[in-house]
Amino acid sequence: MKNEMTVLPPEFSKFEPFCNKWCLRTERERYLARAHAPYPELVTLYEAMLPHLSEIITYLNPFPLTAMPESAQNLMYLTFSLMEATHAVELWKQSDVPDAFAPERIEIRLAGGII
Amino acid sequence: MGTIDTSLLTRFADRYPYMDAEPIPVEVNISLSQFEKEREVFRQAWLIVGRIEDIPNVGDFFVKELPILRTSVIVVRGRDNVLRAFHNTCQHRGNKLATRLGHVRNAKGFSCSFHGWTYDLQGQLVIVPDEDQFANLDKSQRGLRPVSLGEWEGFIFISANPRETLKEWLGERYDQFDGYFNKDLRCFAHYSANVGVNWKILLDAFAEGYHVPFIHGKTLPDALMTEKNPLCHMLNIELYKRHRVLSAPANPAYEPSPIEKIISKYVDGPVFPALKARLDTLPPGINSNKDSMWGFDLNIIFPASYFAPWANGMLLVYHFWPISVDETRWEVCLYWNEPKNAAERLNQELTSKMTISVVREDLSSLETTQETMLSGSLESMILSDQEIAVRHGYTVLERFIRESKEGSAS
Repeated sequence: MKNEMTVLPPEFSKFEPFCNKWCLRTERERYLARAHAPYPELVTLYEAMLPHLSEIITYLNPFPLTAMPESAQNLMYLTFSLMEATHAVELWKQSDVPDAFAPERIEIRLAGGII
Repeated sequence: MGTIDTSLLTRFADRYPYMDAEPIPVEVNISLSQFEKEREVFRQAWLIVGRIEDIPNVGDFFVKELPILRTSVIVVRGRDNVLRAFHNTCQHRGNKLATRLGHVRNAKGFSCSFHGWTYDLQGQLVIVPDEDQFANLDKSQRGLRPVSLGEWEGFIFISANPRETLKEWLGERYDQFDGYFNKDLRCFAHYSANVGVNWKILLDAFAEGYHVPFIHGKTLPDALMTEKNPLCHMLNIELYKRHRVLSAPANPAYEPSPIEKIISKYVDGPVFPALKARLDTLPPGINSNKDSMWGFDLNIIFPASYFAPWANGMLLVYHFWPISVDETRWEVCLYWNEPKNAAERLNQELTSKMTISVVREDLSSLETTQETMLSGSLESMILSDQEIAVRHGYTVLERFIRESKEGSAS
């Protein structure tokens, strides 16, 4: 489900252009979005966010994981998408694992806690 | 290249003289009659279906579809806090009670969608609408049909037709873990897929390290292997009466990636891959040689599950549920501590992403392998010493089938 009205904490408003595509609530949505994204988009997301990951963690760490303010939760979802993009950029140099079992065939379910 | 570590060239077969070295005929993975024999093995086996942390509260339950047992099972925590397993079958006219599979949910009882018969959390039939219309109904005789359930080290086992206690089933492994898994574990990711392959081919793909430099070369380029161990030899392999364990290496010189370097500043344990084991805290059953190069153990519990404790405290539990001779439901649950903050949660997310990518590499070739076995173009599989745990799986299965037959004949 895309979140058209996403609002990030003001300190991170520079990432808002990524939110329409990458602020996704479920792991399966993020996983498939990443697997099918054009590779340059993943590089752009990774290169934009990685230098600010320490600031993001410092901002998010004080919040209880199951009761984040909406803007912090949105930032968490967006940072989950950074985790998705990481192996594409750091390892495979392409959007998905080369020559692997089809991503659509993997069932992903929420195991507990926040997604 | 550095010098190969000669201690890793020890032949495991020398320790297990009862294991032959003959190739394994492929017939065992394509034969319908073999599959029916295996169905009886699964009926007598104790099977891991989950962990106690999955259903911590009264009324928590999950449902397992077990086509190999031709049944569906509800595992539930009762009002008395006792775990029970039941066939997921209404005792009126056989309708399935709980239909949304897999997900852990909470219930006050189980109500049948067909005629509203309702059972409590202990399986007793408590409500029958229009009960007076039944001439000879004794509700106490129409409770849910129980399935044997056992707990060990936090793992929940069920058995359709146990011939042994769970303790006997686990054998040498029973007392080797000292409550190691009694910690704040929580399932943080869960993946599954139906794969068009025999369950043994699927399990075998995870039961050796020989494939790692090849099929995982792009995803785990230097996480496990070192110059002294370039072909991912196992640190140790222990074969037991039914079960087996492989201790897999990690590369101490692994250079964390840019994102791992950042996250590792905020989490207690190391990020993936696991490298810094606290060896003195490990029980006898884990990393049996207490090797400082240890990454994780792969405990294969006969017939078709394994649990893998990692040096960083993570626990992976895999299942290979047979559906038919050439279809298997693969499932993995990843457990770690309850994340204390966003950094730990992000570290878990990065780890689960790595895990599912590695598994998708493992799964990539198996359906073609199953087709190959049907083609007649391969008669048998020849196995190296590093694949001795694969061989052990076939040896134990064949012996179990033979002894069951002898047992039922006598």
